[in-house]
Amino acid sequence: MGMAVGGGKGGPKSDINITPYIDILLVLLIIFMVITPFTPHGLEVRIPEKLPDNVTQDVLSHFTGIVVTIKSDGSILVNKDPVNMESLGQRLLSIYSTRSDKTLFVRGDKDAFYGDVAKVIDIAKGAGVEEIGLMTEFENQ
Amino acid sequence: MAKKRNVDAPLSDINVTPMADVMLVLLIIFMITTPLLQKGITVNLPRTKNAIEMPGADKRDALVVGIDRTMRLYLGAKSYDMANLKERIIEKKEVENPDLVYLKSDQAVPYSKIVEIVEMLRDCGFERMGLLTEQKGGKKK
Repeated sequence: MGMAVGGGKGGPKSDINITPYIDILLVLLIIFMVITPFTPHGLEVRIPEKLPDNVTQDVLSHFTGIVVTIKSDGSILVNKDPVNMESLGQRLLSIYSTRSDKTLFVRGDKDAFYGDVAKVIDIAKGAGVEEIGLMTEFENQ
Repeated sequence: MAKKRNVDAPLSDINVTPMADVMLVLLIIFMITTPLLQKGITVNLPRTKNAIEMPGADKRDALVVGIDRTMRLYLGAKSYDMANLKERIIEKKEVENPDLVYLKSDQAVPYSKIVEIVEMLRDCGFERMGLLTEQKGGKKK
């Protein structure tokens, strides 16, 4: 970067070019803008206990929790009702606003993408769900 | 920076400012590349809006299980297979006993792999997991 320094002949002149100083200032600014946002973020989930192998149909029918299932094509079921991704937030918001137990169970197909599951968990967290349990059983329908 | 000098005297005022500039730019480059190399694997994390800050994942002794697009498993920056991974995690749990384990998985990983990991973590005694994500939009909490 060429810096023309004025003066050489004649009386003492002292015009200081401030361009390089602004340059350094901007570089320092970039450094701090780049460094600060790098804290890791994440979604906290719980790992529920394993369902015992001989769980009876009777126990299952008394289950009052809400299960969101993400299928391999990305479609979503809320307790057996199909919901699409856009209305999931609204749906969960309306369900959980009147629920005292803010727990949601999340289940995915073997071939569902983790990205889709994470998106659903993200929406759930934004809709007021407090605890999310990742189910390890696959839907057996 | 004009100094009054004799026109015939040798010129020797070197501008330090551009050199400081170059040094700062090099500093930025290293500040960006080194953490990426250390923490090991680069993974396409799911994007979220409601993730919370998880500064614990950056700590040196944090348990971060990684799954990249090729479904290779990592603990920190080293690759393991499932059996060795489980052993290493059990070892670390006995030594340090963290209560939270982090999962840094690529979006495209099929959910069956996630379930495998979750079941393994459950067997190791973990009840909570942090799914690491890329936070978009405003920070929460």
